[in-house]
Amino acid sequence: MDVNEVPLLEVRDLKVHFVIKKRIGGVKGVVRAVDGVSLKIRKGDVIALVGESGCGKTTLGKAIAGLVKPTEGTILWKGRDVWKMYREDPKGFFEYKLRVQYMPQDPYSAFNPSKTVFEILCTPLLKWKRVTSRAECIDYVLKILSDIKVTPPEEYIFRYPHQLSGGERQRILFALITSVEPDVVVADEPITAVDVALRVDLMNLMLEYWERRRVAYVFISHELASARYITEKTGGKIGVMYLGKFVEFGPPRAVIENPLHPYTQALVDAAPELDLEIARKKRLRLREVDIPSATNPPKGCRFHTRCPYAMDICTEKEPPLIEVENGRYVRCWLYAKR
Amino acid sequence: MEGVLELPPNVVLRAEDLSVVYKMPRGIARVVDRVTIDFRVGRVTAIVGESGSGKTMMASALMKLVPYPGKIEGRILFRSDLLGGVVDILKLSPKELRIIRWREIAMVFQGAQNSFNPTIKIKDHFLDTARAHGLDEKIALEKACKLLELVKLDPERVLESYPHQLSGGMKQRTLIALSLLLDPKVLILDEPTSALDLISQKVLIDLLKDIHERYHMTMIFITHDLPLIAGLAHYVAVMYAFKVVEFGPIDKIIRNPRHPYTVGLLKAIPPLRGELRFVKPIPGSHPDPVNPPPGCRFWPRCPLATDVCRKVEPKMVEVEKDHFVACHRWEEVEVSKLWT
Repeated sequence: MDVNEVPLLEVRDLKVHFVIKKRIGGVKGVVRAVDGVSLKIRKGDVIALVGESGCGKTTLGKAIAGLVKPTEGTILWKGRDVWKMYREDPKGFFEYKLRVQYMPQDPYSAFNPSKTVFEILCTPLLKWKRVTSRAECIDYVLKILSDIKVTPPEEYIFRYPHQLSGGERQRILFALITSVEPDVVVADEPITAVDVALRVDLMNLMLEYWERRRVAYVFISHELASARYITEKTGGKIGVMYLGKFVEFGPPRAVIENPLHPYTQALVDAAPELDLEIARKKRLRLREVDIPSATNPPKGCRFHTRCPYAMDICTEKEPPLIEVENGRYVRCWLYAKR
Repeated sequence: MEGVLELPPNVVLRAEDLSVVYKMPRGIARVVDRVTIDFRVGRVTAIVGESGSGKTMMASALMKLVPYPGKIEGRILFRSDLLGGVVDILKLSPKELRIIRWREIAMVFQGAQNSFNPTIKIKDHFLDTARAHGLDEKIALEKACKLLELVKLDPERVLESYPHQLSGGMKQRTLIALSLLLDPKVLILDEPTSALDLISQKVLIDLLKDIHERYHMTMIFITHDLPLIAGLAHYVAVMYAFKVVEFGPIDKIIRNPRHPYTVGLLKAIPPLRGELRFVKPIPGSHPDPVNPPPGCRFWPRCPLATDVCRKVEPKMVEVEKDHFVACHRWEEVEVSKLWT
């Protein structure tokens, strides 16, 4: 890959803060959901964001897709500042919004319950002029449905969302999002609500689509095994987030089999495994079970309140994100020069 | 009651020919279909299956808590200390049921978020339970503090909180403390970890392990996530299409599964470590309870299906000690060759 090539999407020192207002004027606090994240996404890149709930992965995903306006920092689409474009070149902004699609978390509430599968799927096709007439639309929708193996398609096009199974709903949601041929898909916890045995179904569909079109994925999940599956098959990276920042970033195998950051180690300890010997031994080694509030993150390293290796420096100074090996980053004083 | 009911000494709860039946306009749905299963004293038994396979229904039936208009058939034998001897739960009077529920068998229902009354404090949940089952309030509060500490919560803070002031993981742990208030000997947990994230999930599993080690309680753990309970469970019952298709010690189920469905289930899970193969889900979909396929229910999705499977329903056979399977072709099941 050419290093000098302009990435599709670049996130520079992004911060998204939410202000909690008091009932009668004044500010109660600021939730620092994303607090300084930089990221480059090139064509066909797959990045899995993992972390607990409240670590800011969903907000980062939404910011990448242009659904939340960042407080600070910039998002560049093909080298152009997205939010500057919003003011000065709305057409360019819409192009970006079309090319970067967000796949919402909950397939149950993502659809309008009063519309059939056909109506749901044909709306973006007509809007973005992928087809010109309704007649053409039927063929197109039938093709989309058989592509995602929702068969027989004739039977499905007039069904309502509640008549679909969880897996089908998710496949159709994925088909809806990819029907406009995006370059980047931000999939927000797409597999969390699905049975473990059916999770690979959607991931295989995503992989198949990736093979065909080399779309870039931002895959948000708290499940390590799935994050590994999708990133290792595509040569992607895993980014571990904690309270709005990356604490570790690198290739899946290295991150899971040799986690450097104590938080990543905790995540690996927490991940369910079928190997009985490992499963019986694995225990969490956290000093504190619950995640601190993002309104008032701990000083110094944000993880020090729960970290089993916390030192004096951790409570005072925030560690920098350093590159330990090629393409592998970690934010921890255990590895950084003081 | 005809004759004295008996249970082997190592079994505390047994479902015999248990069915849950719903009559609907389009037909009769047997959402649990003639299941026989033993729960051993002091052991953790996991019930694993897809959503819609009847696992929650079965667990609810064990406490005679099936939603109206469902009917429960069969027998549920339980060794009760309070009622003095083995009883059939389905034949108990409401008064007797009240004695057993919570004090001897407690259940943690799915979705902790919805199990609390949002308008009263956590403290009052504990007091309510104590009052309803005749426990002194002062003792109950002392015990509540101890239990909350056991589940790694700060009792002073939690007791004075309203449910919405706690996070999902904290609510779930509070619920477990609440279910232990009356020292039950059987604890049924229905998908306690769904909607929790990785760390809270693990915290909960570690806690249950501690609780089990401390009280040697019999636990029934319902989940769709087999790896999740790998470190906790002793026995696994795999449910498919409203029936138990395989039952045995967890080592045998994971290392030497004999039912093609179990093999498929195990192979559909991407591994965390080691070599990454292409993982495939089991093709096809779960049958409808009104009109399940004849013969073995799994044959439409099974790669080993023959004519016999299509016509004759397989019986549970003991393939090795304690390991039961309902499959005509269990001898031919080879883990490495199936579902590739």
